[in-house]
Amino acid sequence: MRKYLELSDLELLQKIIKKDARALEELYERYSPVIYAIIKKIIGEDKNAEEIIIKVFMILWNRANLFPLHTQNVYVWLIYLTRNLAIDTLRRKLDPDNSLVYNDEYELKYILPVIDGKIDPLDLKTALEIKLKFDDELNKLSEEQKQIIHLSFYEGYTIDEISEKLFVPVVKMREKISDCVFQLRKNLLSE
Amino acid sequence: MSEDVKQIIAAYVLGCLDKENLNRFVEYIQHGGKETEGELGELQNIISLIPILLSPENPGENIKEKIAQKILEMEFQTKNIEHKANKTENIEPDNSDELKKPLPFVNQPLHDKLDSAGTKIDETLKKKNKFLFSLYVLMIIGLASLSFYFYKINLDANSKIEKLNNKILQLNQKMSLANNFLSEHSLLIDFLNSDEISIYNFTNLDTSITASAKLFLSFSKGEGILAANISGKISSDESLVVWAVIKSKNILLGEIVYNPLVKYYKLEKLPLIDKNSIKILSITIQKRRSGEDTESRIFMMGKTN
Repeated sequence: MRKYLELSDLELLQKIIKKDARALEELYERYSPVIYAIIKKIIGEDKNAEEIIIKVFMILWNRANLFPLHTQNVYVWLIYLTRNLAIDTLRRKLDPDNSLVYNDEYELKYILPVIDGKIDPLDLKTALEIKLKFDDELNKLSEEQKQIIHLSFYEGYTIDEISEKLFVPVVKMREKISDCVFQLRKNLLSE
Repeated sequence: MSEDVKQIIAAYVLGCLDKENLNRFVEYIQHGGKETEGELGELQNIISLIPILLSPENPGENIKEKIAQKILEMEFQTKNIEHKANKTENIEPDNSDELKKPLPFVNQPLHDKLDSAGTKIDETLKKKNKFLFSLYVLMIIGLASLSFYFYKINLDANSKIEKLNNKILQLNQKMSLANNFLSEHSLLIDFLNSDEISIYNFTNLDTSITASAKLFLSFSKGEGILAANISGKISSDESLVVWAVIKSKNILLGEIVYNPLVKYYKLEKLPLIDKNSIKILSITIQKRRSGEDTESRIFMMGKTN
């Protein structure tokens, strides 16, 4: 077990591809608290949250081979995977008439995240190290910008839906979304 | 980078693109979209930090157990399908080390459970094969027992059928005897249905002949039946004549031609006589000579029973 503790996220994922269950367990130990927190934030209910976290790790076990190893960024892949799955569950729950069938094709298209091939590596440990700074910089955003981030990331609303909710024209909303994301980056890189 | 691209990237990383634009943008990235390279990754790293601000929540041990269970089930299904495929293609089963790891226990860590999934699956398949073999053997034994059971039942049934046939044969014989008796004695039986029957027993007077006879008379019907069994020689021109002796006079009751094969002879149109006046009866053997007086001798004497 000691050996696996010392392995990087990428090394663990490479072992998971080879169906190494110990690697999956180690990644679970590392990520389950943050993954579960995201799911609870989006879904709220304990029962659905449990089902989703199980599904996240099942996808990880089954689809690890689809992870772009060259990016070395398991963290981003897992965070977005969790977020996409939880949002999809939420949207289906809110819209029972949703006719889109959840199958392999759907999972590959809308649940598995596509990340930039040139992304810098990031892991949970590093993310936690910059947590306070990130919190500070996020708080420097306006309330509206924070609301936009919340409605997009945690509630899964589209641009059109957010513009409708905030009574802002769609064209303007696109600018606002762009502004808040790039503003956040600017804040983070300013020091 | 144009404002439009910036807006698309920002919406993509925040996850608020509608499905149509999302598909289009993903296709662009997957085809090596140079314009967004690097910038997109940087923003993905930043946005993925948002959940770091959430308070971590431990999902609990049962979730880990459930994941392990699900994976075990899934691996089992996969192995089962592979096993079936191997069986179909006549390929040797996979005996790699992976499948020789120890079995999981209840409190075993997740990885141990999953590591040993292969072994568990292999063991399960072996158990399944053993079970199928046992089932096969049991089926053979069962079929043999069943065959023996039916064979025995068949033997018993044949024996019973044979016994029944014998019984039927015996009954048929009895029925035939009964029918013979009925046909033989029908004359007497019919006659015995009359209201008042007087029975007279005859005693043989001729020692050269063995004979016995009974006379049944119905005075109301004016009919009678003579039951005679004679083993002596009576010539074909001789007949038996039955007489009633009333007040020293012989009253003719009837005349019969004796046939050894006939037991009963009917006497019809009896004269009107009082049965109480009959003291004695006789049977004579008489030569039948038409138009002439007959010679006769008393052969049997009878009296009321």
